[in-house]
Amino acid sequence: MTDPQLVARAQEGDLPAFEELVKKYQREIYGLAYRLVLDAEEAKDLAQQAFLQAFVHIRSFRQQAQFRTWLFRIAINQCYSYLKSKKKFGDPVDCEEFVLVGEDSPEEDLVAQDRRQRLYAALQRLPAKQRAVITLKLEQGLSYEEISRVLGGTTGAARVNYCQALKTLKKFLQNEDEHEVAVRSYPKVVARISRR
Amino acid sequence: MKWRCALIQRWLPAYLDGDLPSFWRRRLGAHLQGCPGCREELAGFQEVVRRVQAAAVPHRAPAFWQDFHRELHLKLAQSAPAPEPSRTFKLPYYLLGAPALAGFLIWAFMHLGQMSHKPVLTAMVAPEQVVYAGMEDGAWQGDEFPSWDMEAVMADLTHQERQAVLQRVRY
Repeated sequence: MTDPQLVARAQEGDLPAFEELVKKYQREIYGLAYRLVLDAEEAKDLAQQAFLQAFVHIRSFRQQAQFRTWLFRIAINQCYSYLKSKKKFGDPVDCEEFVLVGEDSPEEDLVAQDRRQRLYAALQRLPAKQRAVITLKLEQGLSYEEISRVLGGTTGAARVNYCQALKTLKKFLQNEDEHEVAVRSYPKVVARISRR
Repeated sequence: MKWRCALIQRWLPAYLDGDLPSFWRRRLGAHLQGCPGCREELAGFQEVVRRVQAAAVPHRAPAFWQDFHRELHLKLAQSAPAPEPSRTFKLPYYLLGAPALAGFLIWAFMHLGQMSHKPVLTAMVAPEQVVYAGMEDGAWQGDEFPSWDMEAVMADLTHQERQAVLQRVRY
């Protein structure tokens, strides 16, 4: 059954039809929330809250836009409210809790995990809007026009935010890599400093 | 860094994204072929994109989604879709400012227009003309000599007296 048909049934109060939509988009919405708040439990709560809000307000959805875009908008608004209320900017990133099932050797897994941590730390330093643009563009594959519909604003603004986010991420990641190279080059000096 | 490189590097994320018009794409491609600095910058952006795409959100076990559904189902079962909002045409309140401003401008234009067309007595005639015209009409007697401030004098007259004086001054 297509999205418009499921939405039409959900608008009549058909809960199973809405749950079909939930199953279809749960991973995308959870992924988006996770990228924005960088906290697994909060991302789960926010994704559920987004679906709940979508169900409550499903009758105000006029099918002029895609249901997916509308859902993204609700999820992003939920995440913005959360970030605003909790002032989560700058909290440490906790990605240790995931059990990462890797097919590579343990050493490669550790390296990948380290790189992921550094990326999350860099992502966390981005403004929430730029983080949202990066996620929608690179992970969800939305066009600038769709991003502007989700986040509000113009297509040009979405493009500028994306470019700015890439530049900032590149700068952060380069700084981190240079720092790591410096630390690896002088292990004895670093050990002496850390002992102090 | 050359100024041209600085300009080119602003467009590199869009170039990477394939979101540039063909003219700019060709131009950037030509520049990149001859500029190692910009190529390095482009490689940096490609690396960022690759790292973001590689670090996908960790895979969650089926048990996680079962919990997710169970909790969400309970929440959904307790709520119901809100009634459809009324579709009647409503003018957004901020659009009321435009008619209000237009009304004010029309009023101001008419008011100022009237003021500018209002005959200024001193511009029409000399003060002594008004004094003598008034004396002839009996608006004031010879012994009560009016002030030379004609606007003040006219303001003291009744409407009929004022009309009579003006009529006389005009012809």
